[in-house]
Amino acid sequence: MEKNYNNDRYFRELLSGSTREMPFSDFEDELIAEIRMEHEKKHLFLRNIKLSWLFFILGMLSGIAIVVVLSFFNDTPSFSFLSDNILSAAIIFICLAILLFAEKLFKISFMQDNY
Amino acid sequence: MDELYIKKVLNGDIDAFRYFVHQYKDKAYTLAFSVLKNEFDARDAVQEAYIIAFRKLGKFRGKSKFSTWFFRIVINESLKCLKKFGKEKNITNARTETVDPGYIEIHDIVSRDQQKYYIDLAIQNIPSNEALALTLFYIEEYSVEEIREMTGWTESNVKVLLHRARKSMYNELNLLLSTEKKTLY
Repeated sequence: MEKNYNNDRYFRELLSGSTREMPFSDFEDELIAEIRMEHEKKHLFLRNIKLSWLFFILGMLSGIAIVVVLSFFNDTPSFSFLSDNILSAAIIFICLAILLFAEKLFKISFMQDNY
Repeated sequence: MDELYIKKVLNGDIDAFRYFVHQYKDKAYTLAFSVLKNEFDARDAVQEAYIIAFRKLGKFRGKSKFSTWFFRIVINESLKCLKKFGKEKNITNARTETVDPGYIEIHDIVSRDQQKYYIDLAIQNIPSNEALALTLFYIEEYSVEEIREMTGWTESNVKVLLHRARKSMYNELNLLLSTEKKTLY
């Protein structure tokens, strides 16, 4: 006689109706509440990203404006205290800030799954 | 039907997601339980799977059925949970050597309710991957190909696991029912 464990039909009959039911009655409501929170979190995250880009662009434009203004005043005699070194340092600082913020912003914007 | 609700959810209707919860929660729980063998862990794994499915719903391309895609997430989450807590049971190694008492007919010994109880108990006592294979193939009635898609196992791996699972289940039931016989007579 064929052993039971090689008998597909035997196992199908044996295990039919062995599906479990979720024993937690509040599971559905709790999960939907969690999903709602998740949705709001995502919404907030996307809004924050948009704001981050806005302030990043504003900051970048301000930085460029500062550098342009400083270099303009550098040529006038009354602002002679603005040496070339200070101007170069300001340019380097602004460039570094732009690069660092841009890198972070790109990372966050294109890895939205990890919000 | 699934496609319609996927569109609704993607358009921002959160309540439409309730359809998927209602439709698949029991099957997802059965799968998670077969791996984790604990109702609270299984609940957490299913909950996490639903949240991941919600997050990634936009990436679901419809190449497979939604249920196949979702159950793959459930299985991954359950296995992740199992790894995290290191709860894999290594019970059957010792039990596969039990003496074969011949053709066992569970229907002759116990009632249908008791039968379900013993089957549940036996599934809990066999290793997680075997229990998962058994659940997917015999309880959820998926084909070997669908199981391969859901679990990432190879076809031969699925067949080997099913064979081992049947043997483990058979031995486990024998052991449980021989105890039952002793208490009856």
